[in-house]
Amino acid sequence: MNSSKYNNESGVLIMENVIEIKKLSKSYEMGDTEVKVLDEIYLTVKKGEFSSIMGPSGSGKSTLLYLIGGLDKPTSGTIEIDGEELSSMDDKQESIMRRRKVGFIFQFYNLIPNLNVEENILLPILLDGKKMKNHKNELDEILDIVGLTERRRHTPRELSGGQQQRVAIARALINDPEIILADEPIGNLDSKTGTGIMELFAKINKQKGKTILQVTHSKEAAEYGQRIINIKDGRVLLS
Amino acid sequence: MSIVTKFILKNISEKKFRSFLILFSIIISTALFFSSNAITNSVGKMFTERVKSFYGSTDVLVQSNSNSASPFFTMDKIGRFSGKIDSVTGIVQGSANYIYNKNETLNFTMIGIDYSGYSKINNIDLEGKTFPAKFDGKLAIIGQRTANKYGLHTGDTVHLEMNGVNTNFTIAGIAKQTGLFMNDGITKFIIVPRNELGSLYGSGGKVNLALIKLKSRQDTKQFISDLSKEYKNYTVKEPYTKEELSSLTGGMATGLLIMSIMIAAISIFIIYTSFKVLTMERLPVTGTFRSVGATGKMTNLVMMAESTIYGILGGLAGCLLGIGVLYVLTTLTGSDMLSSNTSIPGNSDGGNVAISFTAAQMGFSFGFAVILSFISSIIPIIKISRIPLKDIVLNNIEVKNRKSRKRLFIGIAIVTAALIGPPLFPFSIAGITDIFCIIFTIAAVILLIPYITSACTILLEKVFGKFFGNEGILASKNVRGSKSIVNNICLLAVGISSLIMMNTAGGSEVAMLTKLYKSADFQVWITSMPNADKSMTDSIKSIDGVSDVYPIYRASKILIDGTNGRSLGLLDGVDKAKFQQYWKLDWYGDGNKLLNGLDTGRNIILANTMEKVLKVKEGSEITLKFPSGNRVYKVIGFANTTIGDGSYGLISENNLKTDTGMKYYNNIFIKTGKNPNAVKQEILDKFAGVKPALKTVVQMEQDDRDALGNTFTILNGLSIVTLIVSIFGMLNNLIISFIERKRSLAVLKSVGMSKRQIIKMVFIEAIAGGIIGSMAGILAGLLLVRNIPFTMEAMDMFISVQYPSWSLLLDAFIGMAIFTAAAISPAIKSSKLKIIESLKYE
Ligand SMILES: Nc1ncnc2c1ncn2[C@@H]1O[C@H](COP(=O)(O)OP(=O)(O)O)[C@@H](O)[C@H]1O
Ligand SMILES: [Mg+2]
Repeated sequence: MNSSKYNNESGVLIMENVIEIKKLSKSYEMGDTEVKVLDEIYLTVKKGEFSSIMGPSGSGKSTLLYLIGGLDKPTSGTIEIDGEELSSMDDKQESIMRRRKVGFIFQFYNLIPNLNVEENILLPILLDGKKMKNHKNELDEILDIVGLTERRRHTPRELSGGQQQRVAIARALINDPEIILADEPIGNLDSKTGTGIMELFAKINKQKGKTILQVTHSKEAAEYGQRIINIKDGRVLLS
Repeated sequence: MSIVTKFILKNISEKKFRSFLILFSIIISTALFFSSNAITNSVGKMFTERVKSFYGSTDVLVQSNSNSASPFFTMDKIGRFSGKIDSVTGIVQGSANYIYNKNETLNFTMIGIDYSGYSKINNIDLEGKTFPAKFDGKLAIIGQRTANKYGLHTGDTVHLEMNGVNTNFTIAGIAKQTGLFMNDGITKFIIVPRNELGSLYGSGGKVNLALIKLKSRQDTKQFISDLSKEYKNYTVKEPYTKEELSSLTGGMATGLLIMSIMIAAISIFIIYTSFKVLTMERLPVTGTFRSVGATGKMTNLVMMAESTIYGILGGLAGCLLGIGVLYVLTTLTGSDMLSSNTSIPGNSDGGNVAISFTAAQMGFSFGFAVILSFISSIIPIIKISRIPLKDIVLNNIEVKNRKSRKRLFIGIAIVTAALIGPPLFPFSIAGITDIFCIIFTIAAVILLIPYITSACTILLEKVFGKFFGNEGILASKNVRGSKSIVNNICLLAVGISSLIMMNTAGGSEVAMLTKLYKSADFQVWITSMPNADKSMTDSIKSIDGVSDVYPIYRASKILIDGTNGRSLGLLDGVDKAKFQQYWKLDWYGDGNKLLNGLDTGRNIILANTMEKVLKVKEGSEITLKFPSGNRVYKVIGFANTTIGDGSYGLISENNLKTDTGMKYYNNIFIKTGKNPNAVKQEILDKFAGVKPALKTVVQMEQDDRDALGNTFTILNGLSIVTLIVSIFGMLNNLIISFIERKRSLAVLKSVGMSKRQIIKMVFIEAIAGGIIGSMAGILAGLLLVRNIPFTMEAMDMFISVQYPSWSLLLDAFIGMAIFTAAAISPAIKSSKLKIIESLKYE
């Protein structure tokens, strides 16, 4: 599927918005008071963009990312992924979106302990009802990209943090989603491993044209991308 | 110290379901353990009370038996021992019909006494004081309840028909509900003067029962043996013996013991898993305690104290519940057990229910509860204490899920031991070893289930992948990886196996009964008739409707030499011409030829059960111990029969008479084309004087079935209780597993698992667990079923087991249903789970 379009007259590549957020708010009720975590946010992300969300702790970065990934529900406002409104989706459509369109990477890897590396990576494929053996090539390719070919039969427990995070990245990539969402993917890793992961992101972004939206605290990590989105007190700061 | 106590109590009250579950399982196991111990006491007490109500303070009695020339005897020879005797009284027993009105005639047991002599041995407590100075002539004493029921008062006249003669008696006194009249209404006694009854029966001053109270009870054994020499063809015995007492409850007590073992096994498992979780939960607290200076020993002690408190609370409540269970069990089965014993005249169903137990039994059961709780929790507690302090404080624990090879080997070793052991154990120790084999089997099942599960899931992954798609594959992997599901499989397996064991035992017993009565080709069965000889059987034959009569000599409990005390329950001396017309047995070979062979020497045909039990084959010799001495018999063949519950042999009539010295028939089989009940009544009327015991075969089968039904209803009920305890344990595991799995499920959702897929996966897991659990349960059940005959043989009882077939499908279905039903709540909870919350807060 080729979602980028060319303007016939000028031949100029027009980048399409893959994420379009309008007036997005999220609040939690804490006893009697309502705590606004996100306050009427507007944000668009273009296809193929590698952006980094930055901001102080507790400013709502993770919350924003979860909402985009459909892992949580907004209080008000809309999120469109590839032109489709998230809130209009039922559970099935939302699940399919998570399998096919979005790959999510957490700070703490979140692998399934009783499945091995291969099986963890293939989860989105499995959940999509596809046969594992039909995706052997993709699997081999991704294992090669993340450098875990030798560890394919290991369980998460037998891997280091960096290796586990690479499994999580492979899992986010296996179903060839357009968007990768990563919440502090290197926040829990040493700087050398972190650099490796960031290089991997940059490679995926360039070679495969994936849209990447990551949350990070590190300036260096943010520099692997093209755009920085600053958040403070639940609002996007103009840059 | 009070802080620690508070801490423990708070812990117990915090996790309500878990505490309830631990207590519940301890309580149930303790209650059953207690009642399995105390039932023998209780039924024994009821039995001895009944014996006492009739025999009073009798130490030794003399009565006629089937060898006696006359039912009556003189007491002269007893007088020779007067130095040892405190008091003695003779009784004439008979029976009478009390004609209340045209439609209602009641049969009473008449007790002819010498009032002053009898009073010394058994008290008669009369209402009012209107008793005549002398209890002589046509006077009668009846019980209070009978008097109330039929509106009788002192001074009234009752018409009694005895020996075909109508006689009027005047009521001289009404007795309170004590002594002989303790169970009045259920038992039916009328006391009359001995001379009066004796003259009606023409006893000529003789009696048919003598009750003796000794000066010193220590002399009883010697006295019996001395007196026996004087009364050679009569029975001289104590009112009851210890053997009689324990044989009353043997099967039930063992059944209860086995059920309490099963429930205890489940309890151990539940407590063990609960404590594993508990110790893990407590880890941060333990760590804090230890980081401020508490030693590992101290933190261990706190947790051990906690398990001991469970043991104490559960033990107390369990003993209380046990008393209740005991009462219910005794009410339901006690009188059935008692009525099977014929040594008490007028004994019948019903009567007072009394429970009885000893302080030792109570203490023992309480100790059982405390130990049960303690040993089940000690392993997790010790394991936790081995974790280094640093890891505890940093909460840095990796739960190793490694299945050790040792466990596999131990499992295989003990299941093998439980398999090959039972046939090898000698009779003298089999009672204990066979129970241990049951424990071993259950332990082996629990040890081996993780391996069985692993093996099964590999297979199921393929099958489920085909049927249910990728969710099936994921579910299979989850089953293998989840401790909780494996634990649930264990619980289900033990529950199902106890169900199978009890169902099979019950079913087999019923099948044996059915087979017995199917092979009986006659309609009325006289099981005892004093002095039955040819003239008497001829007289029965002349009764209208009786087409043929076959009287038989039947000896019981003939010990077999060299077998550590095994015996033949029944030994028939058969008339080869007639036996085949009355009993249709499955002979090994030609029945006629076998029976003919009995006449050619001391030859015996055995029930096929004995073939295995005695390890004999055709041509083997066995030595039977008769009162007259040992006799060697040659086994000439076998018959597949459940007469005597399979503890049965046939020899020729002549051999039996010679070797036992029997002179009279004691079982009479009667064929009739007419209504068997009418024939039975005719016989009762005609032989009222000798009081034959008889039933129609239909009635006898029904009574046997009822008695069996009661016992097995209870044991089946208990196996359902076992299953319920397992289900509770499973629910507990599912709660634990849900907490453990929340994170994994959230991850699965985050990579695109839909609600439907989650529900589907959880249910497939349940189906897989149900299949594996049921299969393992069936396997364990069959292993346990194989143990049943050995366990029963150890009590000298025999059963031919009918291995279940189709019913196993039902059991498997029950298992799957339980597993699936238990998964409903976790499935719903899982699907509703909020991804972010579950990932954030563990
Ligand atoms: N479930 C919740 N209930 C209440 N407050 C929450 C919840 N989840 C997050 N918050 C609050 O929302 C704010 C933003 O959280 P988060 O998005 O995790 O911040 P960031 O990732 O930028 O550090 C924080 O103040 C946090 O306390
Ligand atoms: Mg965050």
